[in-house]
Amino acid sequence: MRRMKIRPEFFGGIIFDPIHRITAYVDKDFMRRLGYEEFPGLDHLTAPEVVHVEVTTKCNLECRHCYTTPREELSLKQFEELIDLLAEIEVFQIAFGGGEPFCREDFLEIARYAYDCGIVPNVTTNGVAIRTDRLDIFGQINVSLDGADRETYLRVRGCDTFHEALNAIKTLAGSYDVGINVVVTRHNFDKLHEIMKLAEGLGVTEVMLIRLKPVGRCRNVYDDLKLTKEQLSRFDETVRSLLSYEVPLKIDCAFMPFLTPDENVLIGMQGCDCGISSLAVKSDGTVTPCSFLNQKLGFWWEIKRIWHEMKEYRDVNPCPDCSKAPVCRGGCRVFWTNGMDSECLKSISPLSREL
Amino acid sequence: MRVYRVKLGYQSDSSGGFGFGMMMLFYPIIASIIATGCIYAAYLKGVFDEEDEDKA
Repeated sequence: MRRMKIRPEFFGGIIFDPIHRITAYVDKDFMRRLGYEEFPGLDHLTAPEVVHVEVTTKCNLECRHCYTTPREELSLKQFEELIDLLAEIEVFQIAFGGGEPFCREDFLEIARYAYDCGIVPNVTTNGVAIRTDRLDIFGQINVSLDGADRETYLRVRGCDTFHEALNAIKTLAGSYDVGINVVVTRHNFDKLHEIMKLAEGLGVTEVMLIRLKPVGRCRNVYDDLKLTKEQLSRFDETVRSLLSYEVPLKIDCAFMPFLTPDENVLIGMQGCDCGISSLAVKSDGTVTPCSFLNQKLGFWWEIKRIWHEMKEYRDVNPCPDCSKAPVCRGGCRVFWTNGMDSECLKSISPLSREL
Repeated sequence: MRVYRVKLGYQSDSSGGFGFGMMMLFYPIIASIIATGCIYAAYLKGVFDEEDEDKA
């Protein structure tokens, strides 16, 4: 069930239109026009827009840059109770991930439950064992494809499943909204045009560029895969050159320190949105700020309280000398050293890692 | 009436964020189209009363 949701917020409200895939922040006049007269007296959203839910840490691959670490799993009933809670606070979307979500036998039941509760379920998959039927409940299915050819894919992931992933995209793109997730490393950075060309030909909905993060298994290979300082210095111009393709491009908020703050970037984009518009729940039920940040904030049944207590994630005041700070918000917290992204090219922290 | 921010599409796991690619470049036009669309969608949903409907 996909239905439009209108949520009054302190600034006015949010209109979530899942049919047209639009989330719009509007002012109080706009909301009054829609018949809403009362607005919450908060300084933050009443609830997350999206909650990232790890349904399992099991996987049929062993990608070397995976950020997951093994954990227990909630039962189907517990996940349903979590979803009830998220529906109650009017969460718009759930971004299911893992591990490989489809390695969990009852994953589609969990996703179906979210759909029936009026929440749009999205899923990220490696595409290797994905089924191709009964997936119309998903708003979007994102398949990880870190290269436009087998050699690049293998070099980045360490798993020889390029053709399986590509076939999954080809098969699914005919029936569903499919996106491509690309973890950007030094091995595929200069081949992003090839990925965009491939994506254009496949007719996918979007390409999402994700920053590699030294979390989970990736810690072991991070230094071998991370973007070089020279590549980071070219990140902005490279991303802009990718906008010429017809496929919409999305960019991980963790890349914010490497984008130039002109009006096109400033509008609609910001750094870390933990506690601002998103939150994460791990497979064992612990709540964390995001999928990558393993800071335990509590348990899933406390999610309402946790959300309202995330002041330290919302009210950051990093990098006082940087004009981009209000938008960048200090970059990705995974990389934070002394309150700023240690890989930011402007970083002056003496503890910055050598790039 | 103002539209502060528009996010297009859905969010996948591992993304954390957003970025609207080429759509960002045409933001003012898109925002106005979307704003109109949202009002119309709300109308279809029955959010407006009859008086507002006339104004819309």
